[in-house]
Amino acid sequence: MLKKIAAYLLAVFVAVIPAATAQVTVNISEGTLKPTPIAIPVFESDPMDKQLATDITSVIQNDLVSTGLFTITPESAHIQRDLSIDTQPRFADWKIIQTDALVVGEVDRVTIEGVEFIRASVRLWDVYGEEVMRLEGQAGRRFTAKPEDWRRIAHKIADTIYARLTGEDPYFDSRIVYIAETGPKNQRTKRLAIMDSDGANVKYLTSGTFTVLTPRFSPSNQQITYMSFENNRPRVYLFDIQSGRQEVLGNFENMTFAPRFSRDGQSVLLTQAKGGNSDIFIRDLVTQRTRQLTDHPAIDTSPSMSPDGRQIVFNSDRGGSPQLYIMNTDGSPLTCPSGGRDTACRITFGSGRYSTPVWSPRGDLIAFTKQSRGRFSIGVIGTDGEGERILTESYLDEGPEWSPNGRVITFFRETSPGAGPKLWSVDLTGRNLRQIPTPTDASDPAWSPLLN
Amino acid sequence: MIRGLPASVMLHAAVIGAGYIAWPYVAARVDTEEFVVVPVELVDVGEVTNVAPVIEPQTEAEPEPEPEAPEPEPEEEDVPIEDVPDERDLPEDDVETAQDAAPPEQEDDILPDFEAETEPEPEKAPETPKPEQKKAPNPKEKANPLDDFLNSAESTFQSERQTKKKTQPPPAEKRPEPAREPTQEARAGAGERTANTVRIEMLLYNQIKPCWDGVSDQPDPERLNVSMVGKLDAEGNVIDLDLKAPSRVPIGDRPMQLAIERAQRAVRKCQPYRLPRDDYDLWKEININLGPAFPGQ
Repeated sequence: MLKKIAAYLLAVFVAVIPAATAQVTVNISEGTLKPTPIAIPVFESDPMDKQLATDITSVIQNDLVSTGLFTITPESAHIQRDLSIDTQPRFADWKIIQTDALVVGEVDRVTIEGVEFIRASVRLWDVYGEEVMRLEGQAGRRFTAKPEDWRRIAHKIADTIYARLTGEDPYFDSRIVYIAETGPKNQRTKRLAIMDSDGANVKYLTSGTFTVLTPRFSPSNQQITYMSFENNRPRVYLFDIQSGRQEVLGNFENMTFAPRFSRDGQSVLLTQAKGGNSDIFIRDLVTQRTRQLTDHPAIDTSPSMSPDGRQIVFNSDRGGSPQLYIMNTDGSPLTCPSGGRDTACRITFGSGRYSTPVWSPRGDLIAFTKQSRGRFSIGVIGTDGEGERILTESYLDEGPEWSPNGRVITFFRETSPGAGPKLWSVDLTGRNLRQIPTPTDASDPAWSPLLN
Repeated sequence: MIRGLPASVMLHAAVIGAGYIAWPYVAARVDTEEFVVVPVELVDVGEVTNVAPVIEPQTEAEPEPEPEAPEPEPEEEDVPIEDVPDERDLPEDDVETAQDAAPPEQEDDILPDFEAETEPEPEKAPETPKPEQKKAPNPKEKANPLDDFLNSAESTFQSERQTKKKTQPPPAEKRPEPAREPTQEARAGAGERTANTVRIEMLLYNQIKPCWDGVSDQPDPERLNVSMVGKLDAEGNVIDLDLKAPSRVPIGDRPMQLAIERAQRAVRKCQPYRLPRDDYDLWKEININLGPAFPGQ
C-alpha cells in the first residue's frame, strides 16, 4: 500500500516538475541586415611613423566601408584612448558606443638582413562577446612588407577582417586592369592601365600609340590578355605584368577579339571573325593548339568558362537577337533548361539584347549586359536561366567583371551622351553602387585574382 | 507512531491529490466548453503563476456556459477557440485587452492560417475530453475513498496526457518545426499569466530582432539555425548564454560559425532587456531560436 502511495506521490511530483521549468521561447526567422559597426582606431606607432599608421588605418577603413557591410565608428566617439595590442580593451567603453567589433593594431619597423621593413600587427575583438576573434586560427595577425608596399599591408589586414566577419573570401588585395581613355572622341587614346582595387597606384602598361580593348586577367597568375590594334591589325595579345613582355596569341589569319582566360589560366577563349561570321575558339597556352568550339552561321562571341571548366557561356544571335547560350566545353550535347538536348542551350528569354556574359567565380551566376528600351543594364542570372536580376541601369552600363570572391561586379558607365566612361562597382544586392576613382576616363575593367 | 507515518503520508497525499485533481478537473470543464487544446496547455505553461490568476477567470467563465447547455453546446462554444489564435497574433497591447474577456472581437484580426488550423480541432477535441474527464471522477467518488481518490488521480493523469497528445499534433501540422508553437498558442488563450508570457515573448522578439543581422547573406541560409538558452538577471542582463543547437561551434563550417557568433552577439548586444519585473520568474530563463527555420512570433 505504501509503495502504491509513494508511486502516486512520485507521479504527482514528476508531473509537476516539467511545468515548473517552463520557459519563454523567442523565435526569430529573419534578421535586420545592416552594416556592422566597427571601430578601427589609428594603429599604435612610434611618433615618426604616426603618418604611416594613420594612412594604413585609413586604407583599412575605406576598404571595409566600400563593401557597404560596415560602418566605421567615428574616432571622436571613442572613449578608450589607451588601447594597446597587448592588452584587452575595456569592452564596456566600446559597448556604450554600440560597436560590434574593435580592431586594434600596431605599426613598427624591423630590419631583416640589413633591409628595413614595416610591420603591422592586428587583433580583432568581439566587443559583445568580450573575446578576441581568431584570425585564420590565430589570436592576431602580423604582416611585413617593404615600406613602399604599405598599402598592400593595409589591404591584407582589411581582407582578414572582412573574411572573418562576413565569411566571404577576401578581395581587397587585388588589382583592376582597365582601359584608360584620354583625348577627344574622334582621336581617343586608349591605354592599358592597372591599379589597386581601391583605385590607388595607377600605372600604365601601354604607351597609347595603338588602341587596346577588353583586357582580361588570368585567374592564376599575373598575365593579361587583351585585344590590340598594334600595326593596325586587331589581334589578341598576352602581356606579362612582371616582365613587361607582350606577344601575339596564336597565329590566326583573321581578326581575333573578346579573349578570356579559362579558370585554370592554361588556355584562352577567343573569337575569330572570318568571312563575316564569328565563332569561338580555345587556345591551349601549353600545347599551343587551337580548337574551334562553335561553328554556326550566326555571330558567336564573348565566351566565358565556368569555374569547373566544363561549360562555356557565350553570346550569339542565332535566335534572332543577341542572347546568352551555354555549351559544354567539349562540344557534346547537353540537356537544356528549357527542355531537349542540344549542343548549345539558350538561357535568356527576356526582352532586350544580352551580351558580355561572365561566369561567376562561385559558379552559380552569370553577369551580363542587357540593352532594352534604349537603356543599358548590368544584371545576373542563374546558370539555368532562372532568377534574372538587374543590378544597375543607366544611359550606358557595360562590361561586367567579377571580383575574385564573386560578390562584387565592376563595370563601366556613361551617365549621358558625351560624358566619358567611368568605372563603377556594385555588389550582388545591387544596393552598394560606387564609383571607382580613376585619373582619366576609364572602361573595360577586369579584376585580378588575389595577390600572393 | 508507527501508524502515524502512513496516516500522515496518506493525508498529505490526499491533500496534494485533491488539489491536483481539482485543478485539472476545472481545466477539463473549460476544455469541453471552450476548446480542449487551450486548457491543457495552460497547465503546462502557467503552473506557478496560474494557480491564482488563471483559475479564477476560468471558473468565472465556466459556470456561465455550463448551465446554458451541458452537452450539445460545445460546437457553439467553438468561438472562444478562435480567441486563442487571435491573442497570439495580436500585438502586445491587444494581448492585454484580450485577457480581460474581449478576445472574440479581436478574432476578426486572426490570420487565415490560424483560423484554418483551429477550426478542425474543436470538432475532434470537445467530444473526447468531455466524457473522459467528467465521467471518470463521478463514479469513483462513490466508491472507496482512498482507492477512488487515487484512481481518479490516475485517470486525470491519463486523460491529461491524452488531451496533451491531442492538442500538440494540430499545431505541429501547420509548421513542422517544434512543439514551441503549440505552447505559445495555448498560452495565448490561457489567461492573465499566460498572456503575459506571450507578451514577454513579443517584448523579447522586438528587442532582439533589431540586433540580429540574420544569415540571409550566407550560403544555404536555411540550415543556419541557432538555438540558445539565456539566463537573465532581474535587470534584464544576460548572465549566461548556452548554445543548445548546434551543441558546439562546428570546426570548418564558416557559415555556421558566423551564424552562431551573430546569434550570440545579438542576444548580448540588446541587453539589458526591458521586461516586466513582476514576471521575472517567467523570463529569468529564456529559449532563443534564431534562424530561417524558426517562424517569427
